[in-house]
This record gives sequence, structure tokens and C-alpha cells, in this order.
Amino acid sequence: MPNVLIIGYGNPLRRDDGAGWEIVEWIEKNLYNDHIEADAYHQLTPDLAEELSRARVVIFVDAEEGGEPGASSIRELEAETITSSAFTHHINPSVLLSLSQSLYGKQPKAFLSAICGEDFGLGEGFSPKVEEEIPLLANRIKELALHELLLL
Amino acid sequence: MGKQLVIDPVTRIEGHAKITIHLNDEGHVDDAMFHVTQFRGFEKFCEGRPFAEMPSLMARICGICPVSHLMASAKACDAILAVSIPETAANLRRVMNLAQIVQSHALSFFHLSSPDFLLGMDADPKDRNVIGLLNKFPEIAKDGVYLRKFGQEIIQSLGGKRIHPAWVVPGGVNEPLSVELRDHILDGIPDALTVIQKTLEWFKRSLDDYHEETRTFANFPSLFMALVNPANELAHYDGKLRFVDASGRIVADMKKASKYSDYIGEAVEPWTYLKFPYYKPTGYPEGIYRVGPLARLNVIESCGTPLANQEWAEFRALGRGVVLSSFHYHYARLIEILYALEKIQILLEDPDILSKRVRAFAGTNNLEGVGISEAPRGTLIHHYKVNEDGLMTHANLIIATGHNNLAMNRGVLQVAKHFVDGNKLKEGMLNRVEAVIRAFDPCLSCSTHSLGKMQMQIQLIDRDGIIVDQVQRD
Repeated sequence: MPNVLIIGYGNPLRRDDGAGWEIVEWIEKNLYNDHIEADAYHQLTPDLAEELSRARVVIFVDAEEGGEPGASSIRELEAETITSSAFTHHINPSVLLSLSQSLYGKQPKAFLSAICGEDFGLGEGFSPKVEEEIPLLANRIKELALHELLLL
Repeated sequence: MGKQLVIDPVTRIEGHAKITIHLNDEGHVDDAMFHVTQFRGFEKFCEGRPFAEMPSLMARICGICPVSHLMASAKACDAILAVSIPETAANLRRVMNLAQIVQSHALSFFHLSSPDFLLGMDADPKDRNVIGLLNKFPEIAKDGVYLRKFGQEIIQSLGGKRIHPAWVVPGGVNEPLSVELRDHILDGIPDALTVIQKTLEWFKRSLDDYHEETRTFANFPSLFMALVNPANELAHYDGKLRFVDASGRIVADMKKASKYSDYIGEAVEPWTYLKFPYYKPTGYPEGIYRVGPLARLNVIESCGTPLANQEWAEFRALGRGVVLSSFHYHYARLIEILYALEKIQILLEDPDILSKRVRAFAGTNNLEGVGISEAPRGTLIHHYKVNEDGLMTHANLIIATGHNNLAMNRGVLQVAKHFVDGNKLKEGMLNRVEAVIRAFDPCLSCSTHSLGKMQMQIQLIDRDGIIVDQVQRD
């Protein structure tokens, strides 16, 4: 299991919602380190708690609604014990951290990196500002992953 | 004055559906509807693409059941190639499809529905969720994660890279199974069987606590539709499509996938984007039928594996002929997990599973192909048309959640009439209205799910549009 786990998620057939996938692909092409792994998912589900528990740092990557299109951010995450409606198959990163701690007694240091999307319609490819920002955010995530690796 | 009660879940995935309950002047439920408020446009999206790309493209539609779309799509492409794929390839596809059943059912049962069973239908929604489950029943929460992960690992170990899965291809699969991987999967089966048998035992014991829900959760006569194999056993990958009525009598056996439109019509209503498939010979809306785990256990004569056969016999004793209550979708899911684990073991213990002949090659030999498989939520149909160059000119997808649309709507009405007092909303009432939908485990995950506000809004509105009561869950 890697020391640093990067998890991109979203729907790659819903335009900007696929930014997390695109960033994971960028990381795979541009970051070669046996201690860092990047994976993409449509959505976060409880079974990922075990993978989290085996990593020391996790960086979630998602698209965000609202805000200036193309604006991106990285912030540290805390575990959260409030989950969403029982209607949804999806859980959020903070709840996943909490699951990791409760089920396996461990939770990694966690970050959430997000990019504000503009177009969540059906299709592939990104709106211009998101497309421009993706490699920039991906590079910042790469630097963060390498920095965190040094601290371990 | 009549009122309208709206349960409007605004979440990342299912945020594009809502429930409205219409009240009469006395505050009693008059009508209820399950609306899907977002257009699914995947069919149009496919046009112009080479048909060979369809399986991997379709696998990206849904994060919950990508394998199901992969299977139906690959089978439609096999039909365009006009090939009969090697039996080993078909069995490897079966293993992957069954692993999908395990992981998806585990997510539905443990993550979404077991909080209702273990924490109570009337519990505060802040506690009635996976975290609440974890606090009070950590071992059960862990079992759910374990089964889901076991299914996922089989899929990922067979399918390889997660981002662009390309193992299932038109004509078969692109790589044979290794001895090491087969043995690795087989090693995990005994523990997974122990977990699901333990779960079945506690769930069966808890059924006595849910007589009222069993009686009222979409419990009505209807047709049931699912694939069966030539021995009339459970089939998730191929077989004939069977319709049975509420007494269990076989109404139709459809042997050729390409004939589906002789049996299934699709109606539309102006208040929802989700179509209403119906049994054509009976017409709309009388031709209501259900699909999914409950239907699959209702159309067969046995499961076809030893442990699941025993559980199935006990299950079928719940009804005269067939089991009509949709509350028992949950029970059926557990039996299907048991069956899937046993069947994976049987398939992998056959020495031919290691055969190197796993793919048939051909060009465009038919201009049309239909693929039918059983997804976790029910029958999935992919129908493609291509031109002489093999480029897609038409696609029609009938998804499991669509097949159940008529039944979900009738179920919402039945539960609302029984539990909802329109004069004042109470949590338990609303949860049961949601819970009947959850029993079907509808999946609308083709919609966007980016970061954003996740909330559940419930409003009581009169005919003038004035909100007279409101509940909101963040």
C-alpha cells in the first residue's frame, strides 16, 4: 500500500465533473514514485475506508459546484460523523475518514483539492477555464504529495 | 384545500429525483409520484462512435454497476460481430458479473438499508445512517465493507486498470485467467460465505419486526421479469427472458434477445424523464412488472447452488406462488449474494476456466445487436444499430430502474396512503416513503455528483404553492 494515496472522483461523462479523473491520469503520467498511488472512482463508497486506513496521507480530488469557474483550492480535511441521506450510494471524504478510524482504528492525514466547474452537462472534455486549470492543480497536488512523503 | 407534499432529495447522485405526495382537502393521501427530473442522454451520446468502443464507454455511465453495462454492451457487440464467444470467455464474464452482484447488493443492504432495520424506521436521520450503524453495530458495518470490497477486488483483479477497463471486449475477454488469480479469488470465498450466512440469519430473525412494512411496501400483484437458464435456475449473464404472473404462472419465455420489443413497450409521462416500460401484450399501465433480485427469485424453479437453494425454498414459502412484497427485495439480495459466491466458486473450480481461448474475432457482420444481462437492480437491455463501417447510428438502453418505474410509483402511493398523515409531517412517515424506494435500490448515478450542498428537502405545499410544512436534512 502506498504512503500517499490520491483519489480522484467524479463522472467522466459529465464534462467538468470528470476533473478528478483527468488529474489522476495526469499524475499517473507525470509522477513516478512507488510510494504514491493515484486511483479514480465515480464516487466514494464505504469499502474505500480500508484503503484509506492503509495509507498515511490521502489527497481527494473532486470538482466543485459554485464559485469562479476554474478556481481551485487545497485544504486539509477532518473526519466527520454526519453522513448524507440514506438515499445516496455516495459518501463524502470526511465521512470516509471517520469510517476508516472507526472500522480500522487508523485514519490518514487528508486533503481535499477541488476545482470549480462550469459545465456539468453530458459529454467529454472540459470547459476552457477548467481545462486550463487542471494541469496547474495537478502539479500542485504532485508537489503536495512529494512534500508529504518527505515528512513521513 | 388540497395540498401537495414534496420529498425532494437534492444530493449529488440521486438529487435528480423527488417524490410528491398529493393530499386531498382532509389531509389524506390522494396520489403519489416518483419523479426523475434529469434527462439521461446517453443514447444520443453514442451515435457516430465505433461500436467496439461501446463496452468501455458504457462502463463509464455508472459508478455503481459499470460491469452490468459492460456485459450488456459486450453482448450487443457480440451480436453485431455475429460470433458465439468461447465458453471460457462467457464464464469469465459470468464471474465478473457475479462479483458485481456481490459488491452492489452489499452496498445497498449494509450501507443504505440496514440502518433502517437495525436502528429503526423512526430513528433520527442523523443517526440512521452508516455512521450510526458503525457506532452501534460495528461488526455488521465491517461485514458490509468486507463483502463490497471482496466483490470489487474480483472485478479489479480481472479487469485491470480502473480508469479505462478493457478486459471485456466484443468477442469475449482480452486476457485469460491466471492460476494465481484464480486461486487468490477462491481463497477468499469461504470467509465471504461465512459473512453472508451470518447476515442472512440475523436478517431472517428480524423479519418479525417488519410485518407492517412487509404488508405495505409495494405489496401488490404484478408480473415479474428476469433471465432464467435452460434448467429454470438463476441466470445473470444470459438465458431466456421470462415473465411470470402473481401466481407464479409463466406468462412468456422470450428466447431471442432481439425480440424484446415484442414484449416490452416504453411509455412516457410529462412529469418525469424516466420512461415507463410495460409488458406490451397487457398494455400500459396495466402491464406493470418488476425486475431485480425479487423478480429473479420469483421466476426460477431453483437457484442452482446448494446453499442458495435451501435459502430460496425458505424464501418462496413467504408467498403463495411468488413473493409479492417489495420489502423482500432486501432478503432476495442476501440470497443472491450467497448464490453469487457459490457460483463464482463453481465456475473457478472448472479447469476450463484457465483455457487460453477467450476471444472470437470478426468484423461487422450484423447491422443490429441486442445484449441482455441481469444487473444488480434487474434486467438491462442494450440495443445498438450500426452502419456498414461499424459506426453507431442508434442506441436504446432500458435500465433496471426504468423497468421498476411503474412499480416504484405504485409502491410510493401504497406506503404514503398507509403511513402519511398530511396534516403534520413526521420523520418516520417520510422515511417509510423513502424506504419503499430504497427497497428497489434505484440507481440514477449517471447524473453528476460533484462537490456541492447535499440535503433532503421535504415540503408540504397547498395548491396555491404556499409551503405549510417543511423538513430539511443537510
